[in-house]
Amino acid sequence: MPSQAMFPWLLLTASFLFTLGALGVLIRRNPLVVFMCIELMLNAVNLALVGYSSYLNSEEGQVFAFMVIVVAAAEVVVGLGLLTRVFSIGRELDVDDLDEMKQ
Amino acid sequence: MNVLLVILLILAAISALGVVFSAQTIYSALSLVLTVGLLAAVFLVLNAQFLFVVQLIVYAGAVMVLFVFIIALLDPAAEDRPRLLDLRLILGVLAVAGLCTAVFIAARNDVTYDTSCTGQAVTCMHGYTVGSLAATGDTTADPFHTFGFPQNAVDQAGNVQTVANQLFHTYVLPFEITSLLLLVAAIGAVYLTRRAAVGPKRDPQADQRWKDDLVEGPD
Amino acid sequence: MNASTAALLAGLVLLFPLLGSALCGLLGPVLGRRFVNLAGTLSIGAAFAVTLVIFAQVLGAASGHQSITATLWNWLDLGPGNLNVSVDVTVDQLSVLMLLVITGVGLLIHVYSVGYMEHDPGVARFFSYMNFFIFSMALLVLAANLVILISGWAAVALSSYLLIGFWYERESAVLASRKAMITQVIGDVALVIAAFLIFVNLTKVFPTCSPDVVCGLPAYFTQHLYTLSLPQIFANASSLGAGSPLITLICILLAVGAFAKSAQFPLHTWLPDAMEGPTPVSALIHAATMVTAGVYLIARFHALFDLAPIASGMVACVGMGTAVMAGFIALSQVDIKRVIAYSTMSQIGLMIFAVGIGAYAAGMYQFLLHAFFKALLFLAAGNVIHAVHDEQDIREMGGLDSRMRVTAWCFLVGSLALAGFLFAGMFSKEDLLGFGLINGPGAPALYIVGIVVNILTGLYAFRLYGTAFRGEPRSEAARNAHESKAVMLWPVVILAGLSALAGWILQWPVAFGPHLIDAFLNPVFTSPAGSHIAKEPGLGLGVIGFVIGLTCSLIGIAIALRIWVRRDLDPSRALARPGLRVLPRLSFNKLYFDELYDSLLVRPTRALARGLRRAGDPVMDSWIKGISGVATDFSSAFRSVQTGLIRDYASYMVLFVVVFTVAVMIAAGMAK
Repeated sequence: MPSQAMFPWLLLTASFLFTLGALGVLIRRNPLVVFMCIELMLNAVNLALVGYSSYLNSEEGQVFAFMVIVVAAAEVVVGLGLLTRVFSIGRELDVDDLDEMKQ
Repeated sequence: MNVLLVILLILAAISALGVVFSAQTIYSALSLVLTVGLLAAVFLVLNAQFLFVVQLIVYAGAVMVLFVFIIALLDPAAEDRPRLLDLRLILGVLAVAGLCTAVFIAARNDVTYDTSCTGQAVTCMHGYTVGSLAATGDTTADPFHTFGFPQNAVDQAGNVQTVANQLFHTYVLPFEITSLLLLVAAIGAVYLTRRAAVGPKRDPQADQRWKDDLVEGPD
Repeated sequence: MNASTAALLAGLVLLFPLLGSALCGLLGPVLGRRFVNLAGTLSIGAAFAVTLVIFAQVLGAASGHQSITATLWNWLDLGPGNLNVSVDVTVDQLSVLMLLVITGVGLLIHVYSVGYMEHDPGVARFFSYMNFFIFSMALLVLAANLVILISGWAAVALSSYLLIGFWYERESAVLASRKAMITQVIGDVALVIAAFLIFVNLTKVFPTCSPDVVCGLPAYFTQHLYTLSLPQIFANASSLGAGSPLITLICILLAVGAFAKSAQFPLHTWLPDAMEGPTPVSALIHAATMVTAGVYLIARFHALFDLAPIASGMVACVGMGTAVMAGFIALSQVDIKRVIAYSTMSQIGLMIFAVGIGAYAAGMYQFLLHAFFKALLFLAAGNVIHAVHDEQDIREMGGLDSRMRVTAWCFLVGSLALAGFLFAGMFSKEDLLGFGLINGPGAPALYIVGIVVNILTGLYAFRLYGTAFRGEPRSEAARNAHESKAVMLWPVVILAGLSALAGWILQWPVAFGPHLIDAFLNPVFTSPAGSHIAKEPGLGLGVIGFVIGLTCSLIGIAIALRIWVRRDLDPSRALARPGLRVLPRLSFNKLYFDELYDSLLVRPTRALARGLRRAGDPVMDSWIKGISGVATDFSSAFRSVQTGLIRDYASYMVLFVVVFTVAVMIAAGMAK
């Protein structure tokens, strides 16, 4: 088991990964990559949760992380299905083109 | 242990950079696989064996495979160079830098809402010092079992059993609901992709060429 | 009779017509005409039977115990010291007399309606409305609580509106019912204001003050009780002091309400137009009962009117004035129902005059007899109208006496009763005119006007009879007229019998002076504070008054007979003289009241409405457009945020997450 002093670095990495993911969501144009960045963010959260679980000796963090993984899996299925659909009707896979929600 | 952890974390950070800044979509996907694997290793180091396995099987083994398949199916050679001088990029960089800094400082300052705990060497929550709990195994001061089982119990019973204990006792309702969620997602995905699976044939000759290759072998 | 019996009987009298109304209205269209005829008439028959029981009880009760106030149920109770309204009924001689007429004459008219409406498709609606009218009128006369009285008053106005406009496809009927409703609402407003004044001033039950109980201001406010019960109000009335401005105001307002309901000047214009309704409606509502509600109101509130001589005097003048005005107008009308309508107005004017001078019993006597002969006249007129195929112009009639013998004889009886010779009217009219000799403002003045009214009454009554029934038929329809069927004849005959004999029977013990109705009703109008009844003229004066009055009636009848029956006198040359020529025109045009009200009230209101619409609509629209414009501009400004690009949305999310996190951290006291 790592020592208690590593905990801030765990959190730092988690936050770094999270912010990288957020950055990726903002600057990438291919929706698939955006999706992957979202997955990266979820992983970062998982890392934080497991980190806390480890350093507080509580399994609840891991249970929560488990739920997050399940939700991420479900979300990927639906999201990729949607993207496939978008592609199949001939649209470009570019988030700047998919702006039908514009008012 | 610590060194291993640090190495894993640094590698994870680097591969995350690869996810975000790769020009080709497939390289992003592969970087993400690497990141997920590295994180699974981190989980193992942090004594979360159950999650280590789950992460590898589900995340790396199913979710990322799905990603790779879809990329291969849709547009394998897609290139997407991020425009670096985009206003959003600058805004995003500033924002996320700020977020990162904030979280790190909070972590450094022993984030709790119980200000009586600040400044102490050991992380504490709700006024209890974790270290003492781990040492004594005394849970009467913790009626909601916030801290779960003490360390020696974990060592005795093993991580999977303790996680399962929580999962099927305290959190059985969320567990069932997430299973329902998966069902709904599956149904939704089936519904969404009912008609045309892949788009209009962009290259009418491609199919024929492929079949020819099969019969005759590639030249 | 004790309170619970009274409550039970009164409840039944109210229940039966209401039930009939509901049954006819709801089940009538389903179950058909015969059911409606049966249900509609039996309900009133049942109510009449109960009324007879009440009558017997009241007659048989010991003197001094004949007036019972009972509570049917408690409707509204806002706690001690606050408003408490219960459905109280007063069963005394006055209310039972009214009830006898309402249910008895009402029953006859309902029977008549079975025949009259036999070809009308809306018969279920008709009987439903008629029963509802009987119910509301019964509620009105039984009410012992101010709120219930006003409820009955308003329900009566509603029934009148529904029944006048019964043939609602006719524009004239709709306009007439609207006119009636509006005029009556004016009276209702006055009545309600009077009710408010009464509530504030007369309904307190004052705490008894004694040297031990200090009646200082706080105690007064915590101890008094509001009660709207009429007996209580009347008992408190003397506390206001006779002749005080407050009680005069209250009485004037009550009187205005009564005038609206009883079609007295100046709120009389609705009654002739109300003849648009079916003839049974005219008979019931506009002859026998609703229009007499005003008389009843003043009679019931006699305790207040006795303390306000100015108001009573005004009432008497208005009553007599209307009587003479209506008689004058009736002389030239050519619609058979309108003549009878103006006759009603005139006779009610006499009743109002009677209660105005304090001769309450005489006024109610006139009410009773008038109900008989006026309903008779209307129903007979209905027979005539039916016979000549809905022709109502008397100039197109004639010669009906040989073709419709029974109706003609009954009409003759009714006319004699109206004119006041031999039959009913002779007794009641002379009685109340006799009081006019020594009571009322400017004592014999109103009496003199009264005998002029007698002349006019004789004139128009026999003008009507002569023109409609005598002489040669002036149209094809009149030539082919035949008598009505039994169901429409029997009520007419019964009413004729009542008109002929009632006067004689009720006058039986004494030839002149007090009659049975007097003896019956006087206890109502006497209170421990003293008798409020007008002074009776002495025997000699009474006889003289009677003879003069009767003579004038005979003069009127004789002139009418000569002009319109024997046709050996023609006043048209006399009336053609320059000064007098205006009279027939004035009379025919109803003294131009409708035109006057139209130009004074209706046109300005319409002009005002038009002007407001023209001026106000753009202003109102601009407000609304302005508000909506602001909202639209606001939202367009915000719309620019919705670019549809996921990246933009994600940027906002990240930005705000950061801001929020930092804010929370600062708030929680982290070093930042």
